[in-house]
Amino acid sequence: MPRRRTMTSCCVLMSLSVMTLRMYAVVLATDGPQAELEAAQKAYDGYYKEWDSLAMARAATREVAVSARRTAENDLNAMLAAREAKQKIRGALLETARKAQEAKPAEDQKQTLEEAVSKRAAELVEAEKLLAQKLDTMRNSANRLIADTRTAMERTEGFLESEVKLGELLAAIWSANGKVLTAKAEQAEQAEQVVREKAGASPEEIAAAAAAAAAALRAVFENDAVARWEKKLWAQVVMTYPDTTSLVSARADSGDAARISEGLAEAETDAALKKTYAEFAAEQRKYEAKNQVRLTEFGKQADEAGKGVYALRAAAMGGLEPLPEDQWDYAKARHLLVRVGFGGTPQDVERLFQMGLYAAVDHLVDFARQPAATTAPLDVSPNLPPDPLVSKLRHGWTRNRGTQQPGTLDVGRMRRWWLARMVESPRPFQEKLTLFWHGHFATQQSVVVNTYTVYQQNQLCREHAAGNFGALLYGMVHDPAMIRYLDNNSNVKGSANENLAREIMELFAMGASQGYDETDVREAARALTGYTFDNRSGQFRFLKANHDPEEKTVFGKKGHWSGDDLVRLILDQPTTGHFITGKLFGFFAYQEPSPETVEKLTSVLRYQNYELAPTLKNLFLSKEFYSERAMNTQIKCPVQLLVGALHDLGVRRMNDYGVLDRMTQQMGQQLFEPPDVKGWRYGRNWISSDRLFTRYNSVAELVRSVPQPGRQGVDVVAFVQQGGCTTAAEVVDYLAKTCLLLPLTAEKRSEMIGYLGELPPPGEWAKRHEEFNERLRNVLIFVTSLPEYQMS
Amino acid sequence: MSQVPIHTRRELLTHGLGLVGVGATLPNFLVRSSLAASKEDREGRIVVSLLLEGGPDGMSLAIPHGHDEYYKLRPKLGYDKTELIQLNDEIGLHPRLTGFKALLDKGQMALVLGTAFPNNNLSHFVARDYWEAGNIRDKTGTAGSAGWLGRYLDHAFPDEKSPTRNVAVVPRRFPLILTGQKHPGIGLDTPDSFAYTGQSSEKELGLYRKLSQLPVARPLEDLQFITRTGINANTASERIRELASRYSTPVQYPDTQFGRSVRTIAALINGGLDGRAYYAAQGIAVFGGYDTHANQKGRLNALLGELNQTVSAFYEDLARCSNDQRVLTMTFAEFGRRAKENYSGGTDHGWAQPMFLFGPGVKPGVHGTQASLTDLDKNGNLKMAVDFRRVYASILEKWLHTPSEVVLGEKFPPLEVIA
Repeated sequence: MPRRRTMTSCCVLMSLSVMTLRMYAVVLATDGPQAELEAAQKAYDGYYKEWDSLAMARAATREVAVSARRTAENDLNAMLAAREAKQKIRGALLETARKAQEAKPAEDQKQTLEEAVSKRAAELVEAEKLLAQKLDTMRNSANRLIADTRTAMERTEGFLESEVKLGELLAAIWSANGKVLTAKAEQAEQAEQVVREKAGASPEEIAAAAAAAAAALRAVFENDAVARWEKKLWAQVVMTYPDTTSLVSARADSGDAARISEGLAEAETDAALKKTYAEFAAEQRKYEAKNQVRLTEFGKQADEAGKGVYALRAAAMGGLEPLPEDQWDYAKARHLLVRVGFGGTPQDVERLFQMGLYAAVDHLVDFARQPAATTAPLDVSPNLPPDPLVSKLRHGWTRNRGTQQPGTLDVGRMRRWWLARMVESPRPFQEKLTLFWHGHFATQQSVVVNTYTVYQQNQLCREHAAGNFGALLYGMVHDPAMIRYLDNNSNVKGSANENLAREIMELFAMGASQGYDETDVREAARALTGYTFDNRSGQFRFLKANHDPEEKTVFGKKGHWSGDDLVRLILDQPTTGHFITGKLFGFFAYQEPSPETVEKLTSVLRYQNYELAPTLKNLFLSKEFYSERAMNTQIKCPVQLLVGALHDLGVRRMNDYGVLDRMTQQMGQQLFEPPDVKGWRYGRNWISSDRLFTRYNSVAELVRSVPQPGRQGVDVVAFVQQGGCTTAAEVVDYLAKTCLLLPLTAEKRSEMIGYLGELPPPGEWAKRHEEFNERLRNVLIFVTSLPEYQMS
Repeated sequence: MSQVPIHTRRELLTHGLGLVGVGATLPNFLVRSSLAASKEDREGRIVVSLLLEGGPDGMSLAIPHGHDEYYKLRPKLGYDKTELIQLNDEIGLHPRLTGFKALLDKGQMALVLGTAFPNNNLSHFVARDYWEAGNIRDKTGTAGSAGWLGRYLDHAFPDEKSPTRNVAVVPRRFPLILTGQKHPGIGLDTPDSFAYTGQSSEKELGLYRKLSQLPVARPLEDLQFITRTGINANTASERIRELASRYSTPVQYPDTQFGRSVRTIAALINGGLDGRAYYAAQGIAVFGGYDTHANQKGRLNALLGELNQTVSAFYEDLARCSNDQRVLTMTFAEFGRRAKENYSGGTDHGWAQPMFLFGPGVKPGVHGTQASLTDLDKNGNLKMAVDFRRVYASILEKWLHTPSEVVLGEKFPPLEVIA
């Protein structure tokens, strides 16, 4: 079916949607809205055939018109070439004739010249004949061009109208379906009311009815969201799909026809024809302009349809309400960049702001679209103990046997490697999330004492950072570092070790005493028996002999559960999800969100089958994320403080990351060494009187001496120059804008402006760079030593 | 605020410090004199709390060797009657706790058996909060939460704003136990790191101090907390470094994080700082601390050896300056461990545990009741024999002369552990 080739992808998509709708229709009760839906469906089906034949007709006429344009253009060029050739010959003839006249009659030359003249004259006659022929051909082609283009234009007009009409019919189906779903939602709501009012209804019954009502309501939102999305897509396809059915091609066709006929008009010598061509060209220009207007209109329609899609999607998933787009501003863009990434220069923030809210969130969260960090993966391999024979030769059999500690990979190098990724990666969100998961699935290298497995765990967190929480949990149950850290290698049949089982429930997935009890912990520990690892290869091992295959009862469900089953059972528990969304919300937005807020975010997580990216998008688009409670209310963790300072000041490469490692350690956040299995406690726990000094002192040290390629410390002169600063007040304001979200108070601002004094004229900055930079660094350090700087 | 005229040193002590951050705006000699110890401060009674992080196996610290059941529960981890230090027919100390025995012989150690909290929870974090708060309401890291020693300070020093009444020498967060509503406290890792070095010359340091106490644009709770902490830190930094960095003592402490932390506490007490509640924690830097799910015996030897040496050195050092009389030290942990040993040569999270109290102020000997080794709870753990708040009540009433119900929120019959 050649016709199919010209169908747009949109049509395929629409047909799919229509199929989905038909499936809906089967299960619906036949009432008023249902009849309307069926009628809309019928109308659509009926018109679809007409639309289809119009598309075909348009495609055919367009092909003819395109060919006529090519022919006309070729013939025009051929005529012009013939005309030029004729002129050349004529010029040559005249020149030869002049020379022949001037030559003396007695000379031989004269004879030769006269012969040449008559030869040239003959050539000219030929050239004129050819030109006349070409002109004739051109005129014929021009006539065909005009006729074919007009036919195609008419067909295109008809087709475009039909596309609009088909779009409207499709919208009518969605609208009718919305009515059907709304009616269903009302019924479900009434049913819930009945159950609630019924004497002796059990809490389970009420909960089930409430859930059914909520689901029915969500289906209404979902329908509206998809309808809007379809409309947007439809408008976009009509506009831009690069095939024969688009407005863009119609506009290009008429532009092309106009250009050719303008050429024809210019070349034509006959006044009447010239006028005809010129009029046709003008007509085509007009049509081109008309389609341009239509394109703009469709663009507006698409934008309009796109608006509210996220809100409806969020409502359909039971998620958090998105921020209205008109409330998106520079401060919110900075808040997003700092929380989701680590920070950025004012120019970085401006760029994100210009993208708009949705594009900005997509840009950061869909980090797979950005190139991966250039920091190469560490050269790691399982740390096999040395060859026993070599050992024997060196130390004799008795010494060191069995005491070889695997883990030749230096943990310090691993920490520097990760810090480098945080500073350099074009995917800051991936590293931020990896840090979150490291704190969540906290594991201490000093306990595991096998850097290879700890590195593998870090990569597991990075790989699933914004992936699926279930996959991450599953990975952790099989993760050698975690197994070692929580002693599951000694969890064996007959003598269970509960450590891993308990923490999976308490700290990883469910929250202390949320939906499980001590019996569940004991039984889960039995399910995890035999889950161990091989210290030599650093790989997971399931030792069947150590596994307890007997029946266990977890969450009241009996079965011969394994550790893999346990993950599924945990994910199936209705209480699972709240804990992790609450923790994510606390990490990115603010601590102790209301239960309703957590509930909404959890709905998205569960609706999305534990997919994290859509859940996090819902969070970062939400009003809550940009609320007063969230913005600038977080005490920076040490990694955020330091890596954030570097991002803010545009330092994205360092010669040596050891300095960051030392500092984070002093501030209480040594990577791969969280305090215990609960991970780092965020918030006020970072602040004590001596830690505060360390925090101030470390950022000051970075400003003065951060080791970068080719320089030590931050070039604040260049930095403020980039911000276009020329006065002391501008410098202080720019540095405050770079570092702080809260405004500086007038008092602090004037103190710092006073300290800075009058600036040298910009022309002298380079000359007095060292001294001036020192002064600016002091001001920058005043800003970073403010209590305000500790907050983000 | 810096405009308030200050007439006397007393006024400065009672109103000045916390409000304006004297260190920033007053000449140095005034700061020094305001922080210098008054007679009352030199004589005031002190409580030092030592966290044994991870939950030590109480049955290996205070060993119930008089019960046959003990050896059945601990076939591999049990201590033979001949190797432990017998206190009586029922209870003995871990072989490494020789210094504890020496203190007991001098009348300076009390052992309380079977202590726990009524609500059972085997999470390290929840259970530790019970011990530090003395209730189930206050929680680490939650705004507005306070610990029992912090609440004592709030009660005993309601108006006074010295920032150094409660000092924790610990390489991380300030602990809940010392946190008071009016006394945020000073936490430091080492005394040398306790200074601002972002600027070096006087002019810049002056502006730093000035900026650090100007008001902020929005009164966010955490921001004000940081501002207050900064002001207090500036004020206390000079004094603490003066006392601790130059401290010299002939007494040998273990050269470990814990040993050094307790040495710093001795330096501050002997130097006459006005602190009344101190804190250090053992086990943070040692793999998993007392959380001995596996290989318990070796780990306990190392940890208890360090604890034994540190406590002995501490009292020797205090006695050198006649300060031992006014210092009461208590150990605590989140919980004890399971009665029955596990397959990995370790023990899992348990419940009731012993507490140790040190100092000439204690009523020496063994107090409380050994929890039954046969009547265990449903998880196989020792049941609470003594609510530890009865010990707190005794400390508050007899040692600190403070009505215990004000601090603990209700009245617990004191278990008499103070002489």
